[in-house]
Amino acid sequence: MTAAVRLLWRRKAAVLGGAILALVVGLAVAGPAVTRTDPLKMNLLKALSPPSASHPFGTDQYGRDILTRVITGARLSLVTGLGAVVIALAGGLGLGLVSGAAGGWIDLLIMRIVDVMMAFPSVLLALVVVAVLGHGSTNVMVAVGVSLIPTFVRLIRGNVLVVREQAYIEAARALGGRPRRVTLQHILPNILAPVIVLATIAIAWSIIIGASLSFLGLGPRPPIPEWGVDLSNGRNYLLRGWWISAGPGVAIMTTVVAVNLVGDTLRDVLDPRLRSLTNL
Amino acid sequence: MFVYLQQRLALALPVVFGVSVVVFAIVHLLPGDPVLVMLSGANATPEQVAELRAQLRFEDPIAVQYARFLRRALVGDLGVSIFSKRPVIEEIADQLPSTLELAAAAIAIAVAVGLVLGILAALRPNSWLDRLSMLVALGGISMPSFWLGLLLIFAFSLELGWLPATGQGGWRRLILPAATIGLGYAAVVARLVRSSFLEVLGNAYIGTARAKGLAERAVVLKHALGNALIPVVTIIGVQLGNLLAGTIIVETVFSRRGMGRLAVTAVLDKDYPLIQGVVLVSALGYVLVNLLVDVSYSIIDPRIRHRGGAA
Repeated sequence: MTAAVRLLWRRKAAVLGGAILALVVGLAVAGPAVTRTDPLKMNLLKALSPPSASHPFGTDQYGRDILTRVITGARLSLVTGLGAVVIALAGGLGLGLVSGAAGGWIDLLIMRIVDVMMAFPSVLLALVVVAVLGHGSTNVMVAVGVSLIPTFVRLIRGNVLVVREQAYIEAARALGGRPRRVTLQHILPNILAPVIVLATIAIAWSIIIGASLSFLGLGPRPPIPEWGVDLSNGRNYLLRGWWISAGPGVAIMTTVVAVNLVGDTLRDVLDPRLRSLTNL
Repeated sequence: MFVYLQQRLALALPVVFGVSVVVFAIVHLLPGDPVLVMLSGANATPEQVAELRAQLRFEDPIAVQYARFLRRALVGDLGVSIFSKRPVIEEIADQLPSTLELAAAAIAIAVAVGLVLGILAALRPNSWLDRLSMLVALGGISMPSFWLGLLLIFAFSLELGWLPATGQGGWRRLILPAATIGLGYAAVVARLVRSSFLEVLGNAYIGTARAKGLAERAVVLKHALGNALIPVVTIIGVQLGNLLAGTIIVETVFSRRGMGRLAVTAVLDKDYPLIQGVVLVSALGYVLVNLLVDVSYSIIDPRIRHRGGAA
């Protein structure tokens, strides 16, 4: 793993992506400590002010400072993205490991369920989950996470199937290791590289799908600052206040580019075979 | 060929069954009294509640309810929209052509732009052109479609005034939404064409073609292109689902009619019969398209068919 970190460090793209991510995460964590104003504070006298020294990203139709809202919104957008990947990872690891290691009818059953989930494009599946659970940021996070589970299950199961045929797994079994112990102690550590790569790139997908659902009005409600919500808010002011959408739009894109830069390099370093998967 | 088709159909049937179960389950997974939740957005009178309760017959055993749902769905009866009071199937029939038109235009843009970018990048690897096209591709992958859509509206409608921003009808209103979806895809296609082309160009038969004195253009167009396209066809098939997802967002951004917008409106209005209908038709459409793509590339690349037949 240290070799991987060294290789990552040598690649400029990954360093740049990592630096941008560190900045975004730092701002999201620091939040109110670095913003000068309240993201909810309206000031109609300053409504629709273009970017200036006092409001570097301008203000929206209620006079709220866009920069403050972008920084505050980072928290919710990142938590949604990361939370969704944690859910997808948990579901994917659970189902993928059991499916790959157990084989037989359990494998068949799990893979048929995954096939059915795959029949729903991810945004549509997320839409179904939101339709059942209702609106809100937590539900969007769950929806995005569930919609990504099939991709994780397929990748993890595929890798388990390869690893479990290796001689060292047979040795572990021959030494009397119980199936659960063999799976968790011997198979799991050997499939982690592709899983880490997928999880990284899935953060970019989740941020985009999460922001899309918020943009459609299914996520947190205004005036809560969130990138998708704020971008949608600026839709009707493109001519008089293009900067309302520009702030959150640039924030989403920069973050996703940064995650992709890190993810792409991680893939090249850890597992080049994944190229076809992460090209999607 | 017939055997392969049979095998693929046999694989698709359990998926179709699973999809129908998921769609049926949407209403049953709702927290609390499903009838009240279904009518919560519609300010329903007690009579309407009683009517819907009688119509849905939730007191029947779940298997009976599912059999009824399936029987009706098979003859195209997907229920009645709570809001418009029209049959769901009619609502869908009204919106589907618009989405298909958008999807077709988006694929055309994606393939055209993606092929050109990818081939240019592959022919001069590591040149500025290669780096630029891969940079554009990274931008395309990282750009959420709603943000790209707004940028296109801002540039081409509001600032330049070349194209209408929203609405329906005519190719001029189709260009911007189709480009919004298509350019994102073009990025994926370009990256794939590049890597696939580079791989094909390294093959011995390309060396042979060059050695016998063929012009570079003939080498690329006659010998490399066809072989490099096989994975591209695959990826277009795989990506069709995302394309459908793209229409959900883009139709809202451009205020276009279509299945995507219908789905979002249905979820926002909590119009569950409509949600079920749209989700069922979309997912089945996706399964069908995947089946067609599978069969079509077994025609392009006969090895797939034979491998399938042997298995």
